[in-house]
Amino acid sequence: MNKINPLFDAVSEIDDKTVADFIPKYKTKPRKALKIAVITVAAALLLGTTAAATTLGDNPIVKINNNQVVPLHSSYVDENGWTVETTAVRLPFDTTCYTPVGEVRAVFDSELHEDGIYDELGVRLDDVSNGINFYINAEKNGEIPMTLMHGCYYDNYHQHETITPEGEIIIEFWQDPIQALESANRESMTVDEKLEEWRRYGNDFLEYGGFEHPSMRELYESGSGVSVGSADVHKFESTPSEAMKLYGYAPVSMDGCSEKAGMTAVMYKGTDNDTGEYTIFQQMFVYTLVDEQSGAEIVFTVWRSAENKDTYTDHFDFEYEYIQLNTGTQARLHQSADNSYILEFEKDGAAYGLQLGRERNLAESILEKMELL
Amino acid sequence: MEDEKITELLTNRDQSGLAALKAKYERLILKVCRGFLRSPEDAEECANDTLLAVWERIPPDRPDNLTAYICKIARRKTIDKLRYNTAAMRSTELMTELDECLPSGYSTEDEAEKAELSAALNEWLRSLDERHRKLFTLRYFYMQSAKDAAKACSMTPTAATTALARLRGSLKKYLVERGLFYE
Repeated sequence: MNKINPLFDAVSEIDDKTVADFIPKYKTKPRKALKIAVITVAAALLLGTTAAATTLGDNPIVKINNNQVVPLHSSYVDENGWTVETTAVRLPFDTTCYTPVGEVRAVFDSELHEDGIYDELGVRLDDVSNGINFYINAEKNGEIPMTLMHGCYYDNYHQHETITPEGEIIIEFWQDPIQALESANRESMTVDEKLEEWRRYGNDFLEYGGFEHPSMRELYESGSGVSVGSADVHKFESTPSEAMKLYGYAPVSMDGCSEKAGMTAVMYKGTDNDTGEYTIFQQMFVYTLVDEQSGAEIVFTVWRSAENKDTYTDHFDFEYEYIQLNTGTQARLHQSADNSYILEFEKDGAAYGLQLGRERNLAESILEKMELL
Repeated sequence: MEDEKITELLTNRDQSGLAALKAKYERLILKVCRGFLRSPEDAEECANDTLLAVWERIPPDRPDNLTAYICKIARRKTIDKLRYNTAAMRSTELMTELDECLPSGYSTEDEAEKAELSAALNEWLRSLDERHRKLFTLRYFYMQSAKDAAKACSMTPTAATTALARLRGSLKKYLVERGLFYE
């Protein structure tokens, strides 16, 4: 029997207040409705139709390329009698969107999703008394202030984003009735107040996020610090192998699988903590492998962060992380709250992640082929 | 349904209380269990065990904080399952991390010693600011991934990993100073 660290038992006795204060966010609605919503929206887009001018409350939600398309809004009563609202939106990259707060461009920010995937658009919902406003946290010049990245919390909505190899983002969000109830009495905030809140989060980020360049620190301590970050998105129509060569990497391959053309690469940028330079500190690649036997398409999300930004270029080598896993590198198969399976491991002080999809047998098949099981 | 009402129903052995408990807390319980258990079936089993345990313990228990009460039971059930199931542990990473503070082989068989360790841990936690207390609790009580905990604490994963390492170092130092662990 494995010996359990006695601290685990001790941690079980953490006082009630601490336990109750820091409950992790969890989902309370079934996923089924979300999938239906996404499929419906996707179908509407594929057919070239303009989706119903759906609004939440009286506000127009999002226009993409002058066509009002989404979000698709649905509502149902769950088994407990709660009215659950679900919405989904599918956005191409670099798209001009017209929102209640003006014209913005849809780009990534690098907020970490609970799945462990850096794939989140700066999109948020704001619960206001007369309905729900939906808008995108991006500046018109296409760069997102870092301060906006870490304050995008939703009083009563959960959100999930998926990036596709074709370079689209599927955003799903839904109301959590319990949290909605709990937050019903919260004071409404204006956009300006929300921005101020984000600035505060941004300052916290300066303290904890590794952007500790003296000038940033000075700004932080002066109370006006803003560290700017952004993400560049590159879409490729070539195969992942060909596309990744441009970044100097070897492609990820898997026995019995072929590559499907098309890849999206995301370069996350921020201020280097040592040099103060604005540089890439994180990369993500999304592409598809096809199981030749079954024809099943496996979407891989591979991301890469560097602990030491000065030497990150030495770290960006995807070629052999699987071999490293095989030779004892600590790896973890993580099932996220939305049932995505994610393999996480570290190498040379940098964190890697592989999203293996939501089907358990598919994830296991992948790991078997990688000889990890 | 309000927690007080659920507790009242459970105290009166009303099975609708169990149904309400399940409706309100099952997903949270699963979240706790899945933090540690790789197998969804194991997590489901632990969640069911947790619900059953709550049903069996109330009464005589009358928890002031039902949420914390349930989470603690879920966590204990999860650890029990880990002890039982040695084959498929997702916990290696967490184990390794906490081993930095107190080795797994370190014995605390004595109940008084266990209680002292718990008390020391709580005291140490109270000395932390809220963000670090939250980070530690999410990571080591709720067994969230470092990335999930990072997001919840508005931190980058790199910063969270660094902060967690510092917290483990701090805890180890604290335990050594309290004479609970000798290097």
